[in-house]
Amino acid sequence: MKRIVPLIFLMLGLLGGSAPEGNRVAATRPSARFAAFDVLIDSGKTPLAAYQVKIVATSGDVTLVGIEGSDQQAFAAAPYYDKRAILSKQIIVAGYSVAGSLPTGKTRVATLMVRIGSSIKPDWHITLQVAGGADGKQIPATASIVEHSGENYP
Amino acid sequence: MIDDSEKRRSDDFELPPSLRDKIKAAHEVPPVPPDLSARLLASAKASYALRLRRRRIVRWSALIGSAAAIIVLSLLLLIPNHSSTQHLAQIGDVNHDGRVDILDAYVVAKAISTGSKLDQAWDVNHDGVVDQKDVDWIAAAAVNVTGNPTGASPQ
Repeated sequence: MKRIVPLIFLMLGLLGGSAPEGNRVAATRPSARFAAFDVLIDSGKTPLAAYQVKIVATSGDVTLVGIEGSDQQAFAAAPYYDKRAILSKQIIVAGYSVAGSLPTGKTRVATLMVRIGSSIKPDWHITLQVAGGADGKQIPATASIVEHSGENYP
Repeated sequence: MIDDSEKRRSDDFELPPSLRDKIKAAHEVPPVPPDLSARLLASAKASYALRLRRRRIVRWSALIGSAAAIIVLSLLLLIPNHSSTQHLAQIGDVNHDGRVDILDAYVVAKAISTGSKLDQAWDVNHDGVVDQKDVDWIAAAAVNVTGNPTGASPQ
């Protein structure tokens, strides 16, 4: 018992000493926040069956931490992307749907979860590599990326 | 000292004619028959011509070999290397538009979901069946940015 008591005090001391150190490190780091950005494809009146976009973060301290599918039924599944590129500033995201009912107009197809490390607003460059219709043929469309606002797209 | 009489005797020394004739006859070279001479000359010429031809063949072979080696090396240097990405592009290019993208994966996925006839060429992972794994493989190749298509997240 006599041996255990000093040992407990020693451990408490070590734990107590390390806590302020951790707080100091956290205090010196710049404030970071997490945000979500929606990837939108506008295929006009043509039903959208597949898309593939290239997204590049052009400014800001941005780290891509995850990609989710859309709340839109056709593209609800998580899209394809290169998992090894998840922490880089450039990624290709793609998805398709074999559902009977395909969306038209501006459609949210994926959501990027990002960590923003500085106060500089992140800027993105998105390129639509290909969009396809139900017949598997390429269709005209446009791609954009906006900060998630919870807005419901058709 | 040699006196004059002795010197004169040695200068005037002559072999007996019969002995001289015998020695001459013993060392006389018999004449070569003209036909043998012609044959020998022809044979020597043929041998020399053969040797000359062989030497020419060896020289031309070396020249042609060197030229072929230079041509092969030049072609190897000039023809662009087929990278793994190009190789993948050929494998997963289902719709034959010259590139692998999500539309290739979609074509296979659509055919699987509708029960359409499946092309065995779509068995890109070579497991003997065309299924969702092939769709994932093609899609992974389409979104690949790090050089490893298997690193893509499945849908």
